[in-house]
Amino acid sequence: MLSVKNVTKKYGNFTALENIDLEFGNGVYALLAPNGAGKTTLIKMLATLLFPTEGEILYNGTDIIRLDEKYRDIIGFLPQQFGYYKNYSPRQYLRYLAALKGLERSAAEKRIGELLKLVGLEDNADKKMKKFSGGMLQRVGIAQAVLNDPKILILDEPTAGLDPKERVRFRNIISSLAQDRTVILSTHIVSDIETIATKVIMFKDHRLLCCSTVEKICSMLNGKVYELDNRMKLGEKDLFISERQDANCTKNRFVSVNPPEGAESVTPNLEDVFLYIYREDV
Amino acid sequence: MNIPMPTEAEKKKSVSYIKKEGLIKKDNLFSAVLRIYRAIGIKNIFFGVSDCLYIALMISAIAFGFTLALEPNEFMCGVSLVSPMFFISAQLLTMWKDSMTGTQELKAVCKYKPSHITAFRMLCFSSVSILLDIPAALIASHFDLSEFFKVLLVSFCSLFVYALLMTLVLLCLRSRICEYILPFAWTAAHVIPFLDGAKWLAMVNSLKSGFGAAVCLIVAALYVVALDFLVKKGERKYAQR
Repeated sequence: MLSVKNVTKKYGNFTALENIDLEFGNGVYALLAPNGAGKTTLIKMLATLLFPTEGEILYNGTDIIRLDEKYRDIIGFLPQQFGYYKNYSPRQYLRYLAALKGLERSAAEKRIGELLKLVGLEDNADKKMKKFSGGMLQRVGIAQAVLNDPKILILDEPTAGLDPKERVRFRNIISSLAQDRTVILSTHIVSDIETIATKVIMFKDHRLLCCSTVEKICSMLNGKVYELDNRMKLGEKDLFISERQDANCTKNRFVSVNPPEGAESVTPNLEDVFLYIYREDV
Repeated sequence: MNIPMPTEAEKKKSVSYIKKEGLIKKDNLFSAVLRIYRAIGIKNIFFGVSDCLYIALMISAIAFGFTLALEPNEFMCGVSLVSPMFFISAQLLTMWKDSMTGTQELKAVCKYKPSHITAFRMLCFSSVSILLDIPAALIASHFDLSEFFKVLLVSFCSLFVYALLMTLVLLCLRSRICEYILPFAWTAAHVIPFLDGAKWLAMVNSLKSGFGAAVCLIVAALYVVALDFLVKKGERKYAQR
């Protein structure tokens, strides 16, 4: 069990995160917030790349800084910008990272083969990475993150650069991995996590806003989300969220307490909540 | 009421368990180096930077050629400037390549710390520099044994001073730019004795070889101590508290 206890992170006078309390068990934990909200700061603290200014992060009751190598041995990490050596193949690079992660050579060889197959790179396993697309590189990144079969998998915006097919493949991989481990991923793309997140964590003004299931988060807008033909005018207090093309007309989606006549109530989704909460930021 | 007290053996067992689990042993330089060598191997310690080592060797050869062309009174100053050239260029190029590939964050969360690998690499660079400096000193001194020892002493002192300074920069300064500034500062610091080469040569000649050897050993010892600190504390740039 990973626990974030009263963690604050300051950069000089700027407070990136304040009094964050979180508990992570097995499952997918999605940090959902706009850019600059502090997602990467929390991710880096969980990966021991940054240390809290106040508070502590505990793994099974022991501070992760004290655990040092023992903690790094059980985590897998994919940074926002995945670094690689362009003149090496994914297999060579994964062999190298496997050595740094302390894997035995024979076990590493077997694992690398399995992972390259899992991320769909077995045909390109021995090609130089300089010829790879952004999506292929990201898949190498995902493979290296799970190389040591980590108990805690930390992914910072892992779907950046992936095409729709790869996104689906990624969601499936994450979903199956999360059955017996903690997966913490940060994203600002709602569709990446809506179907797979055990809990969604949102920040507002550098503080924790909520850590709950998608259903519970969406329920905060129950009976408040409507759709209306865009030729009709919205009320002054109505909050426009998005637009969608219907068969006959374009429909406005909005949040309202007193909807105008003709508005049709719809089931709120995570994107509605995201746009509603971060209406000033997005 | 009868409180069951532990026996001496049970107490000892508990204390040793608490000590084993509760106290985290910090690696010293040599245990870390040995552990890393066994676990990772030389090939992986220098993964992706073989081109940097090749370029560093080329730079060292050019620098050596430059020393041979110097006037006699500029010679010792030239030796001091170029002796750590392999160390300087190898360290600088590998650091630059690591930062250019953006692999530092990824390596920093692996089991084996980047600071341990840096310390291992620095030890290798200084060892190779020592090996390169010996034949270079022999050729530069035209196989004159007394001159050879003098050149060698200046070479080693210079190498260890630079290596010590670089280790201190990694230990104490957070900004990566300082790591790149040091080689330029080192070169700039040699311009002054170059301007008055005769005085510099006279100073080197006036030093007793025993004193020179003692200084060299002290600086080498300080370098090893600093590397040990690097292994225990890690590089400052990774400690972003």
